[in-house]
Amino acid sequence: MSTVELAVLLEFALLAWLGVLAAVVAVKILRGDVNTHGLLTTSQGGALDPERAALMVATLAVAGYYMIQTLGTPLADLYDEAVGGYVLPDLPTELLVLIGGSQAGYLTGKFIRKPNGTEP
Amino acid sequence: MTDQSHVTDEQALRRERARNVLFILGFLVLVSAIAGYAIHEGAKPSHIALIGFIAFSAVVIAFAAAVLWEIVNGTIDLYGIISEPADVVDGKGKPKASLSRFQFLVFTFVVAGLFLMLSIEAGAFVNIPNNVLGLIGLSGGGFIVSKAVGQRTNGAKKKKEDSSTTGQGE
Repeated sequence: MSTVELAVLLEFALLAWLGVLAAVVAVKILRGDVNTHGLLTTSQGGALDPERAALMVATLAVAGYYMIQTLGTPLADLYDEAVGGYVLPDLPTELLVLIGGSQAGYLTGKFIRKPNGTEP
Repeated sequence: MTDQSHVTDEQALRRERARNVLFILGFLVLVSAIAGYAIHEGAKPSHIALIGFIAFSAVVIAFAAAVLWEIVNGTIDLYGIISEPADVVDGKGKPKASLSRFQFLVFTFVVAGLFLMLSIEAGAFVNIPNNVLGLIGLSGGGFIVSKAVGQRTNGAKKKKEDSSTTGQGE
């Protein structure tokens, strides 16, 4: 076995480690071992905040879209001659605007809405 | 009673030290034996580099596996991985989860995972387009602003609590 082959093996191990770590975190979130209390509310009687729900949906949609887009593109199509190497697929600007808009809405909501105990 | 426990603690400490010294000596003997064998067999520098790389990889993998194992069995607690700081609580006094932290976590896993996977497939580091870097930056920026807003709100709440306490005292 050469050093290069061993490096490739190590990269696979790192990818597997990252995958298992993501799976463990996902399972822990679903099982309730990770605190998700108040993720979609601003602690005002537990009512759902629309801007938080919008950001959550936008986040999962963009992450899912980008994953599907990347996994569905053959490696040969990712080669960019101008760069002289492989490039990750580009994210459509519309999706970036979607995330930016939902993020702005979320931050505005966080700024305007006051948790219990801080209202005048 | 206290003297006895003091003596027991000291003995346990000595025993642990002796165990550590034995482990280090054993490790050195093992390394020397491997080096001696390699020299005796006329090993080339490339072989020595490979052995060193294998040893280094084994240590890194063992460390990564240990971290993962500690997370799985709960020694490394992930309860607050997407929570606001402990002093930011909701109306019921429970620590609050942060949506921007959650978003940062999701994007990091997705982009890092895809980057690593394609780098392995291509055999070289792949480039990251500006829009994807913008996405990560937007998420990180949102997280920082959200943290600042949270601290401001929490400060206002504490100030109000302090003033009401002072008012009651008077």
